[in-house]
Amino acid sequence: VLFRATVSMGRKGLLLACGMLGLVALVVPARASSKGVPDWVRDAAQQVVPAYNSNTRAVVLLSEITYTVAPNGRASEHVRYVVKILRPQGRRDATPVVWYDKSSKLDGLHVWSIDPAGHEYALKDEEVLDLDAGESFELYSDDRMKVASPPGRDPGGVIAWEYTRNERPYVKETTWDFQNDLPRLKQVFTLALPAGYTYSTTWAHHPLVDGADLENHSYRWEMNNESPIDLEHVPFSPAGSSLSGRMTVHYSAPGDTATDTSSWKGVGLWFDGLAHDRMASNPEMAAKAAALTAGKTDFFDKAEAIGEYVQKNIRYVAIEIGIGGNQPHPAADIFKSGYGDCKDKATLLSAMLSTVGIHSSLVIVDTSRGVIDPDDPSVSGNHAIGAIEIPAGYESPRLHSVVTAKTGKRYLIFDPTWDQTPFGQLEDNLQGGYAMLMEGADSQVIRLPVMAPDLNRVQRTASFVLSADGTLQGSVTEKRFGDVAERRRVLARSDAKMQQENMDRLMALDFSSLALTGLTFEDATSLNRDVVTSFHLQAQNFATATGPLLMLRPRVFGTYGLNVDRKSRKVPIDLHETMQGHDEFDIALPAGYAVDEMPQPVKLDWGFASYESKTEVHGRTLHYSRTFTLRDVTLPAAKYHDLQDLAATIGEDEGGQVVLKRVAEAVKGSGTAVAH
Amino acid sequence: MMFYLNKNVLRRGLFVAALALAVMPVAHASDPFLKPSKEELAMTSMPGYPGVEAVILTMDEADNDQLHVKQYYKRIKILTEKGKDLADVEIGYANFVDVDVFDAGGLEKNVTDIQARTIHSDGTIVPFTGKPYTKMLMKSAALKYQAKVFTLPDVQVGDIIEYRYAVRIADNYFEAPDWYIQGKYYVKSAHYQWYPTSLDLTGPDGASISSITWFPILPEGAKIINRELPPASATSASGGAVRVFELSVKDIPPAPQEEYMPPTASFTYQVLFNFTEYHSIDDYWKSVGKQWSKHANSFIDPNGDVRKAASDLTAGAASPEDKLRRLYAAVEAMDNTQFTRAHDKQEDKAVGLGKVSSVADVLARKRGTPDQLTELFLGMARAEGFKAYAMEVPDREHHIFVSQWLNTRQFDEMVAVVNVNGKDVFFDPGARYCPYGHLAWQHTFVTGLRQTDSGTAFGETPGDGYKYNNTARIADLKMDDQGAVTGTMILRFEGAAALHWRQRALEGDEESIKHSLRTSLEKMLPRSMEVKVDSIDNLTDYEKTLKVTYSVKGPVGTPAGKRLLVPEDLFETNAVAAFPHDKRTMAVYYHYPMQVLDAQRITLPASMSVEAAPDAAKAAFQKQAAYDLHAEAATNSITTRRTFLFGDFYVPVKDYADLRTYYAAFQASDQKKIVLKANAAVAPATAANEGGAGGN
Repeated sequence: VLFRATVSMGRKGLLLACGMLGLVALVVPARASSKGVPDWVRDAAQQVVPAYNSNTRAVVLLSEITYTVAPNGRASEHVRYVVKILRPQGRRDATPVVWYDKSSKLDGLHVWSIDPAGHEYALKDEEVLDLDAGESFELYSDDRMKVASPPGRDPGGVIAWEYTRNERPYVKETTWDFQNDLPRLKQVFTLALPAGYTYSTTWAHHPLVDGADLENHSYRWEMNNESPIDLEHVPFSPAGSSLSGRMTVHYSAPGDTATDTSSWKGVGLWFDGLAHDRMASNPEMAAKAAALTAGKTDFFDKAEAIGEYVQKNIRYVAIEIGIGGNQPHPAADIFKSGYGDCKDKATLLSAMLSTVGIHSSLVIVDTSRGVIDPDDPSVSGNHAIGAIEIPAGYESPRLHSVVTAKTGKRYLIFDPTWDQTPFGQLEDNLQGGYAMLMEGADSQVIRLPVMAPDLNRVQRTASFVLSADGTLQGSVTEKRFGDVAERRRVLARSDAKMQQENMDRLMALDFSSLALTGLTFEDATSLNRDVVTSFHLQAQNFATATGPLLMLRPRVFGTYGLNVDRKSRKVPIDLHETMQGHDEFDIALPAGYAVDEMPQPVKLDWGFASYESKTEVHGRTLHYSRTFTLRDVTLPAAKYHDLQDLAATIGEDEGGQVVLKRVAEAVKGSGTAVAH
Repeated sequence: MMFYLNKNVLRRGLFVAALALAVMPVAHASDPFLKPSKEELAMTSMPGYPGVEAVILTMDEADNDQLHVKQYYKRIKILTEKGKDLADVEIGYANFVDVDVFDAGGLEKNVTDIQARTIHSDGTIVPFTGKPYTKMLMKSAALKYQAKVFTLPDVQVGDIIEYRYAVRIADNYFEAPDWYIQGKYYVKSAHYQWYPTSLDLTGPDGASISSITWFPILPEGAKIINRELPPASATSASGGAVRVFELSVKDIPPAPQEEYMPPTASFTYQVLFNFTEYHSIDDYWKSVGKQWSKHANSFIDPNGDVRKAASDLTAGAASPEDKLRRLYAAVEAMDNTQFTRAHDKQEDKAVGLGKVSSVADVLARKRGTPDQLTELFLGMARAEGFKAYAMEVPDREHHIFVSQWLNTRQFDEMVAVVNVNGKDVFFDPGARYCPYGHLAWQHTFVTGLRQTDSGTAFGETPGDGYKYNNTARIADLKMDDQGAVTGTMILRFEGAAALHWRQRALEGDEESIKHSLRTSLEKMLPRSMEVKVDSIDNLTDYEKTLKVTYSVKGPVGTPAGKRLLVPEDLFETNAVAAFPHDKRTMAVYYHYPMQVLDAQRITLPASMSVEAAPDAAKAAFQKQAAYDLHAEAATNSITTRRTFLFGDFYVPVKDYADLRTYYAAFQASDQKKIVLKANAAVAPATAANEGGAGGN
């Protein structure tokens, strides 16, 4: 029915529920407050806010954390947080969101606000929503969050919240993140330990700061007027958390025999304690591994067979409850069910390899390069992969992702979760980053290798015929290998309609009119071989006529373009991946036309990248070739000008035109020659 | 789905329902699963649909009101790696804990009796032996939204996965089913069954339910079988005859997905049932319209405050239209919470305001939802003696209204109809910055339900032609000896495009709208050009043309030896083929008729002159669209003018090939180059890499 009340309750109520789940529209009516705004909120709100850049959404007026450890090992984190909205976009920064899980409990979440006119509000408990906080990749997780939508969330408004989270930590460490994308005026972290406890701190992306001793085993750090990490609209930006400062506190009780995670060895031992028993193999696994490696004697061949089995046959399903966020399931269970998350897959890999006499271990990484800081040992990675020990003296040209540990042992690093990276290599986002090798007492931080550009490559070849009316037609072959082949391999395994539509759209970037036929893919599932895309292309009006001239782009299709901006660079550059692209195109020219102008050849090298391109005429055939090589995954900000230069060079070359001229100029053409 | 409290939820006594449950336990056959056929096990692809991820072999839904249960059974053949994702199953359900529309307790549901298994292609069966997890997706005082999740074991390509489950509904509620038959995957066979309650039911307003209606969209030949079972049937709780609705379909193709599709997503194959107290379509809409109109009027009726405000606003107005313009402008100036934030009771209380129960309350706040602002406009118009009517309309970006579907969920927003000088004029005061006498395009050319002098009736909204939705792009550039240009670009927006940018600005601030406008132009121009927004005029003055002035500079052409090749229309430099696919199954649907007019003048340095310019180009598509591009060279400049107009927003699929040809022709023309040459005395240098960025 169309009654006002029922319409809004029914349809819009559903929308509201959906919006809530996406944290888009949180609308819970606030009710009269029984408690006033506390003085600490008012005090924070009265601070004078400095002038910030016009793109600053909000400012954190106060962040105060007190981390208290009880003699029984339980810990509580008391948080006070006050934020002021500066722009409408800052509303999202003023939405209280507090996480908890099965192993922690929130002791109240109190939310207050002061609107721009100075009215004060307090939310009641029932006005706080309780939402699932699992990530989209998780089938089930016990992560939850409480979320509120306080009144007054407008520019000039101040929002504050306070809570205590009680937990029994799995590991005796806590992290203070004192920097993010907002400026932070006043920040205090207080550590309160029981008598006899000791602590140490490690710091990421920030020099060490000593805490003030408050006596009674309490210590205090202040970090005021902290500048934001502003990555909005920054091209090739690294992850914010790879730049932001954080302090990790490691503490221990007197005579504590539990693992101390203030060193990477300690972190490794802690993970080892969780995972070691889970790596046990069983006869079924051994039989499968034996079948996979039957007839194989070479180390790489055997490891590859098992690695690819786990990579391709064990479905990624994440079920994370309590310590399950860090502890893998038993390998036998994973093998039987045929699914598991990243640490499960790495665990099964290790278990199966062990049955054929190959030792391997787990490696804890973060999927954002630079987040793991060698100066800040911590359990805070978000992904697990495998390190397969390479037999002493073994060499093979197929070994690419190799790390040599301090013990002198060499490891082939492999991620069985990343299902499109060939065995022997490592996906691009992990390259060049740090990781924790879990190897018992030999656990250590390692730097993951950067792959050679030719392991991540695109090769386009095509042979075309150009007609005098501007129509181009011919056959195209594109080979891809490595991470740049990922999307193509996925496309090749999708349905025929999607394949055709995706390739149509891709080619539409370079042709105003096209017919793409005979599309085929080869070797889409063989990660250690090129995926080959072939098709026939006909593009009308590819060459455009103006007067007696016919102009065409010898680059024809495909781009290595880089989206850079013109601003001065303050943050390091993340180039995402090393790669090499090579294009070779032949274009048979139409009768009656001769080449009048051609683009200049290009050959430049910036160290981290090189680009060369040339257009030549071989008889009646135009030949275009180019090679683009990207050798690094990260660059310092000072190199941004070089990146801009590279981008401009590529852009200019990709737009380069060959001018053909009619041999018999007297023929009336399409276009008007202007006489002066 | 499950939420339609206003639609289908009906009350009845607890006792009878409980009794029914007692005598009618849910039961399956001893083996709850079908035995797969040899063909199903051996299947590796779907003929006619090469490469599809999966095929639904069987979909079975049995809805039984007497048992308060809906039972589902699904069998899926996995054909690709991607298809294995279907082994992760999440079944969502909502409990309205604290919502008690009928004094019958909360609307509680539960998902039970989950059984599942994997069958390998060799026939080996791997049962699901785990326990499904219960995800509490969202919990508030009034609502719990949960899901049962589980994943099937050992799933490989070629396997059949199957599962069944039951959704149990609280004893005091009945819910007519919605059968969504067509979706992402091909369906080999589907069977639906509904045993509606035979009990006497009453709706939320106390009326007796007398009918069941259904809105079927079905493939040719498919029919709903509606029959009565003998009174003694075990499914009867009342002892009377029991009705059953049944549908069996086979070989349902996946729902089409294409670019520029009409808003027909809600018109895939489906059957939507309703309990209703009405006997006919006319009866339903007449009655529902009457109730809606009554409630709307009770909210709209102007009180003294509204009358005084309207009177103050219109004091000295020269004409009725002048009055209405003033009222409209006053409402448009108010805070539209669609773009800001709804304020809650506590905030209203802080400034001495109570509940919003009439347009006077909206006026007092100077703030409202789109519908509330429309109602305020109607109230003030009525206060000034205008005949002013509310009209509920769909948002045609997403829906098209169909009267045969007896459901008011088809309507999204309210517009206003005011009789001015004897003629109905349509207004959209709920669309912030929509000009006087126009509608946001989403509300144009649609059928809706409107108030009339005699009650309510269906009505059509008008729309604007292409000239109204006008964008003009003007470039005035001066080229230097190196081929780089400096100058000004002005973009003028009218109609829908202006409304788009104005509302976009409401989502952020000056900083963000400048960024959006800058990057919008950057995407059109050669990458080598640097763009800066100098000014934005009339951003909030919605009756005027929105004008954005840019400074631009940078290399504009491609050097080719002694020549420089300059895009004939810089604004189309980066345009990509609009219709690259040669096949299409659905009509092409644009948002609104429109025109784009470009003018570009480049003043040349003495060192360069025009060697050749492309011929004038013209193209047309039937009588709906036209295109014209021509360049005029003068001694020291070259000027390009381009006209593109599309006079309609719907092209039937039969005309797709012609439409594609038209686009290909003019998009090719857009890519033509003006050829500049170095004059004998002064040779142009190669265009520099000024500005840094390149590539795409």
